[in-house]
Amino acid sequence: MQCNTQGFDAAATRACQDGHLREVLRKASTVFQAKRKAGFDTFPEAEAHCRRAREARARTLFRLPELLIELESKVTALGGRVHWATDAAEARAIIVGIADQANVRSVVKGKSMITEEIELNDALMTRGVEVWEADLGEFIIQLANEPPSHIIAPAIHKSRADVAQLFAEKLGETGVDIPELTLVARRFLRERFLAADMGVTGANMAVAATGSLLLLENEGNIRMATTCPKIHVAVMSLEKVVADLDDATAVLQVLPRSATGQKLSAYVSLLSGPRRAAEGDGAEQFHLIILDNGRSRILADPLLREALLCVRCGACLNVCPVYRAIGGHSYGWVYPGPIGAILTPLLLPDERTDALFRACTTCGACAAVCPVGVDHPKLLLELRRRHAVTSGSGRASAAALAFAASRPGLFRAAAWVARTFDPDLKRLRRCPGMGRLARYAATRALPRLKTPFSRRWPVLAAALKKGCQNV
Amino acid sequence: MRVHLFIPCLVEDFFPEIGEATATVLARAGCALTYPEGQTCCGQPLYKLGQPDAAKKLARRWLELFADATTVVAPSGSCVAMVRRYARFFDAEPALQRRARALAANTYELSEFLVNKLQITDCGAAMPGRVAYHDSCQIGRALGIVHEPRALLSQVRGLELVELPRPAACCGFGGAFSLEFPEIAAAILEDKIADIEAVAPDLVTCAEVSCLMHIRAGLEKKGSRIRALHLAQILAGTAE
Amino acid sequence: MSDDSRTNILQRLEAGLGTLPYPGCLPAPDSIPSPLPDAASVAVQHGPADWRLLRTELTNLRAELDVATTRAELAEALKRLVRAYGIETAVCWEHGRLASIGIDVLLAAAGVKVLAATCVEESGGCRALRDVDLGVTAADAVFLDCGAIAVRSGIGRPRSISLVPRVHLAVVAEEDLQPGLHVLPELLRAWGEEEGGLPSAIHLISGPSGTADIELVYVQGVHGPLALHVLALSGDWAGAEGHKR
Repeated sequence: MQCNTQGFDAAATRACQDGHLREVLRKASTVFQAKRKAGFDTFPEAEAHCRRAREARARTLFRLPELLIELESKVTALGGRVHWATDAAEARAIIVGIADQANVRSVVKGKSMITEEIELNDALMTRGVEVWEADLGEFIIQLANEPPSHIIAPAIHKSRADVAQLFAEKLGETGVDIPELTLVARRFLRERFLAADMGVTGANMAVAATGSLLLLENEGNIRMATTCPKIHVAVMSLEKVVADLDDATAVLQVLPRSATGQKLSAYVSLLSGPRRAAEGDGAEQFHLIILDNGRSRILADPLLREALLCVRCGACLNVCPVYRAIGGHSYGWVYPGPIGAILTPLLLPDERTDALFRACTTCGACAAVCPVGVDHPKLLLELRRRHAVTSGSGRASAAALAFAASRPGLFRAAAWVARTFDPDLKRLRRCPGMGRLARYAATRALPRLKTPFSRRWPVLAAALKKGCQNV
Repeated sequence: MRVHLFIPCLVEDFFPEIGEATATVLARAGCALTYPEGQTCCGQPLYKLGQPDAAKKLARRWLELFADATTVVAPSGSCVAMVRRYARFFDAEPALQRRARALAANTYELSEFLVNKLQITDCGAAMPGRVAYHDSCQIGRALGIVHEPRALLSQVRGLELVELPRPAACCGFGGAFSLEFPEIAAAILEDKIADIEAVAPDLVTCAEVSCLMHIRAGLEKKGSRIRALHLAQILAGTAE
Repeated sequence: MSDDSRTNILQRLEAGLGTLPYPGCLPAPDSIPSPLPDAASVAVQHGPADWRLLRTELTNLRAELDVATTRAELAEALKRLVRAYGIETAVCWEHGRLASIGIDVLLAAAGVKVLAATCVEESGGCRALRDVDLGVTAADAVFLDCGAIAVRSGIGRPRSISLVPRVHLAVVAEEDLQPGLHVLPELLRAWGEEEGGLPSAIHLISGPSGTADIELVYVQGVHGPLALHVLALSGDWAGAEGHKR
């Protein structure tokens, strides 16, 4: 996906004033929060499970190089091929190479943020390869040529009427109600699955000890994409490896619950290499692309590497008041919400991304629901601290504020001036440079400056003393 | 018990009546009050903006101002949460760090002080009407103070406490956030106000000054007849 | 190129780990893994209570359960299923349990045309099952804490049987029952030991396929089967010899 993080302010402002989008986001937030709560309220030992999942993810980080080597060795022994990609361009080249070599004409895909990140679809399509997104939400936005607005429900911003019209235009077949539309998609994509030469997925996890890939879904498109075509390519963000089946199970126990409140997704696929001899279906070729694209740099950062614990459940998005107001597109890249506000600046250090981590109320709802204990506000504040240092922005005013606040006389004098000449801050908000104050005041009453507490204290103290004596 | 009054910057100039209410409640509860003069700011906005060095200056000043304090109480969770961070600024000054830790351990938000330290839930207040309580992020999540304000409100004579649909959802203020991203903050506030209107209280209350300011600001702009008061004001049995 | 990348990536990761972690931020790297918490509330009881528990889970998952204690009940259940879903064609796993209950015969008696599992291999893949109504498998495990059914792929057990046909029928027995997901690692390891490694595919199936991608309205059945039906062989089916592989 093309990066447009520098457009955050404009996009977010537009989004939070878009009534339809707000309605959709409220609904999504309400539904997912309720599901997650139901899932966790009925989860015996929920905290212990989350701790154990965090442990599994932390173990991954500390043993990452060794685990990747073990994974590679096991996958290779099973007849799979492992490729290492430093960045998006290299990953694209590898996958295009695999497609070229096997004369691939059409590809079906499972939902995968990482393939968005590396902009795979365009690379294949310019080679004349047909690419079909097979997750229903992704399929819809592919037809509409739009980016996803939510990790779990990418087409959540589209109404059934939108989808009906889209199918009519692009598929020549449509329906009226949602079940009908779903069947239209099923019929259409079924043919694509059966005809596809290659299936591309991401990876929820890869188990180093057994060389297995773990994929979670509800629709069945990942199973279809990894069963029907002769070639399966899995692109894996390198921190997704886990040490063994115990660690994989630990994460498996919390991920679906945290995402949608389900005990398990409808389908959990544990794939170990390509099909065996004499098996009738399943991919004949299995390729695992281990992708860096900036993660090794994050791992090297002792304060921020915690962001790599993320298991992509989406719970933080669903509770974030900012996400709820502005939706996924505003974040300008693949990863939205609190985790996106941390990962995007780290993965795209050369882009202007500071708005992402500044646009946070530090409410802490994200950290409270993270199943692996990522402390988003702590990481966001650290990003702010670093940005303030490198950009020098705000330094002068911070120093001025600290100076003024260290001299109460000065503070009091400024307050007196404001109180005397502009208690409702009417004049202040019209001053140049006070545009923000004016924007704030557009929808909120400004507070009024009053006789300060410090001036009232002597009278108050006397009254209280008297009151106590009377009691 | 001697209590030092910690008056947040917003209270000093914009909501002095909250300071008065806080002092009244504490006095009624039998506390002898000291008010250190020259309080300005705890440094939280600077810290949240990524300027810890500037915040540290204010931290040092705060520790000096409250040097004689054995117990400190504020009508705010965010300021108390900030004071509880002070110690980590002073790794290089062990004596000051010790002092910061000791003070932090004895600095309380008002409701937690009344309920957990003084073991009081009845402040002798009366305020008839339907009241909704908003769980401020810096009080509920940051400090784990959830049942204490409710316990206090449930003892106010004539008060009918009603729960909001999403009581712990952020009001959107977020400090500098509402000035940096005023439209997003307004959108978040809009949902909070819709929640409040949905339960049709006479009054909405919370224990955090900035949330109160934000929520009241939104209600006033809408011309709502729903009033907004700080918890301290209800407990003091006073209303403006 | 990939080799250079491999070296560079691994080197960067090693170097990155040289910098100490933030104190208290993450558990120590060499700490012994804690045991997986177990769902102490669920246990396999080897009686009708198990099926009641399974029914509760499967109902939540929008899957159907029939419990048969005799061959007659089994035949009836199959007839009902065939009628309810309009089954005209079926394909079954090659599996001892399915053979011993004579699934082919029972389905034929209900008017269903049964294809051999080998048709998948012979036709070169899933396409053979495109228009098949029913795929029948046994189960390698059934987890009582969540209702998930585990199926292993293998010879005579193509994965598409539980995926491509409209309806998936899983014939389960008491010996498949497991208390909960916490036993998954040990179960997988045991299977690995039996077979000299994990099979190429294991699927945990929890209900029919579904989606709520349009307006968050749930629809049952999208790319996978439209329905999941479970037939439990309850009681003493010792006549069903060779139950496992």
